[in-house]
Amino acid sequence: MVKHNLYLCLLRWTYGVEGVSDEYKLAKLNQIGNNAFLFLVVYTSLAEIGVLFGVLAWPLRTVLVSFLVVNALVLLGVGVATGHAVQRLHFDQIDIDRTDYPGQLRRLRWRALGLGLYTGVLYLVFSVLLWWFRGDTVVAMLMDWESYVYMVIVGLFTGLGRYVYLKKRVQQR
Amino acid sequence: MNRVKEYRLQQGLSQLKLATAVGVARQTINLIENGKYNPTLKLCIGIARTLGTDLNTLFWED
Repeated sequence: MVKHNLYLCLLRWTYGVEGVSDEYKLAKLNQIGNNAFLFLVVYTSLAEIGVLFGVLAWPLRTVLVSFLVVNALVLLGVGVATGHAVQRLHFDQIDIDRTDYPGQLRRLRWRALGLGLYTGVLYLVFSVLLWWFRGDTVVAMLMDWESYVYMVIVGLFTGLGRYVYLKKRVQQR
Repeated sequence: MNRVKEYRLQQGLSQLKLATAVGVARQTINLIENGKYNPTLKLCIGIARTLGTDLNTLFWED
């Protein structure tokens, strides 16, 4: 088993890898990452040339906005491609021993609950920041019960969504 | 092809149980058994030890 460190945790979280991280998984993830990196290097070079020529023909604002939009689309595409590669290799599959199925399922519920709580709190923090940027007092926002209702709804939907997602990836062995 | 599957079944182990004992994913054991992945020497030794045999018996082809 490969020793867990921050880099590995980040790698697993980015690619959505479940289960044990072993030499095969790491080798394949490195391969996927290298492919994505090479593609992005080529894309960045071409995009920079495109922007250089673009500013000669179109207004700077149009070129910059187009550059940002295309960048976002390319990143999304790379994300989808790497996600697909991870799925094809079954790295997102959760293998569960039949004998320990209820216990493992409970663990998945806790994970989903954790994400739900995290998202709910994050939503509240962003709401506070938004109110603050608008010039309203944070206290007024904290006294507003609607924010808490939305926080619970957001947390609940995220947690439930995560649980359904995880449960779909469970394989009993 | 190697004899990992044969020895695993002899020991009455599932792929998941062997994988857990060795510290790898079940898919990795599946790939090794089907000859689709060449494991490192360290992993080969781990598998051989868990299955109570040696590297020659498991991986050497005449």
